[in-house]
Amino acid sequence: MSRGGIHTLKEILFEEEKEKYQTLSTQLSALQGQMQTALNGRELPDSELQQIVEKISIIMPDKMGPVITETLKVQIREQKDEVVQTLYPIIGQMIKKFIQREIQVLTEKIDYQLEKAFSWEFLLVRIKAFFTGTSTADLVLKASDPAKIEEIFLIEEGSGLLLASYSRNKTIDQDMIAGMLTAIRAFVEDAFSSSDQKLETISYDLFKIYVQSFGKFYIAVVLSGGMDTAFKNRLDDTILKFVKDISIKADDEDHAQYLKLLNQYFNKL
Amino acid sequence: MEISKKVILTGHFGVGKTSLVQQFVKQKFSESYLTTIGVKVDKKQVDVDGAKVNLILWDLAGESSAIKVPKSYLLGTQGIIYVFDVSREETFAYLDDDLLELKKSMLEVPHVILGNKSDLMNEEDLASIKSKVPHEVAFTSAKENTNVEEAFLNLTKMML
Repeated sequence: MSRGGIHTLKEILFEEEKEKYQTLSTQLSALQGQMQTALNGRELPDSELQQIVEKISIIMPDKMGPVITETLKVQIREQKDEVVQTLYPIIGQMIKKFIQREIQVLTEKIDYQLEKAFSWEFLLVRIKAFFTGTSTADLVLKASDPAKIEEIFLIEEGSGLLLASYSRNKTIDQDMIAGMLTAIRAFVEDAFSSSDQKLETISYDLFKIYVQSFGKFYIAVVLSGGMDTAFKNRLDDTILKFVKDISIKADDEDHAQYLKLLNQYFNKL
Repeated sequence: MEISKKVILTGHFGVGKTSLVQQFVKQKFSESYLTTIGVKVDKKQVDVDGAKVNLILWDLAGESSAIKVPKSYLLGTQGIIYVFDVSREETFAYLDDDLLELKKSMLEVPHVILGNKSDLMNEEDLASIKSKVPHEVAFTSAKENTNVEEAFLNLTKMML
């Protein structure tokens, strides 16, 4: 195609854009003219411009800050969907990165476990999986973060009074925890009108509270890490043995014997 | 040897149960009103006649009538503190019915009745309220820390 042909083609294809460009050029020229008139033909020296910019940067935060904050608040309140749409890609990326990092850590742990795949240890895991009915993957996974008893509470049913407790690191008052646990259980029973069905587990953050009732009292075990079936069975067995040995008497104010038994049984776990 | 006693605080909403507990346990008073949801458990150890007593205080959410208090919260209670607001007659107008209802679930459990916010009334008004209420009443002010410790200690003695 000849040079003239290309020119004609450009004329046809960009006719609309050319018109817009011309309009913008006219508007820009007009604006420059207005500015010149306002400045009385005088051009602003750089130092003066610098001063104006500095002044604006000092005044802006005070004058505009509250307005911008309020505007943002209103915008967020009134256009939640748009805000979510805007923020989602950023927050989503952050969450994605975090999950990826956590998966990487977990993968490394599993890799480490699998490296031992042909070791005696792994063979034992497979045998254990076969006899306990737990999957090998589950056992390998649990082995990377085994369940640990953080706290145990022996609590009087109903009153919520603490009979004995064991704690790895005492942070909050044990009596208050016992009371609140009992209140939560009472609330659940009332809310679902089911006095014969008791709350069995409560999960919070990385912890799990495992609860077992025995008429006059109940036992709450606070666990961290992953509780596999084998650990749960061992815990259940220990609780049952403990319950068999303990006899809670009404109005018994000497709780030392309960504490002794609690340590005796649960220290083994 | 330490012993523990479960004490419940009950009464209408906004009578100052939580403020009384805060004043007794933490020697604090807050003007802002935050309604209690469900129950809040607190603890204070007191020394009465040489015995160390752990008071486990169940601050129950205020209800317009004792019938509405969940029965499971009352189980094993060893002491009751019934609180009313001296400046709001509706909070003690049905005190008799409320006490009867509580006694249905907890026979022979020692109790004290507290007329709170006494700082809002003068002596004459308080005497008039006392004559209206057919029970022994102790007037308290959680705000000015008047008679708060005495009221809790009095109940502790009754429980021992």
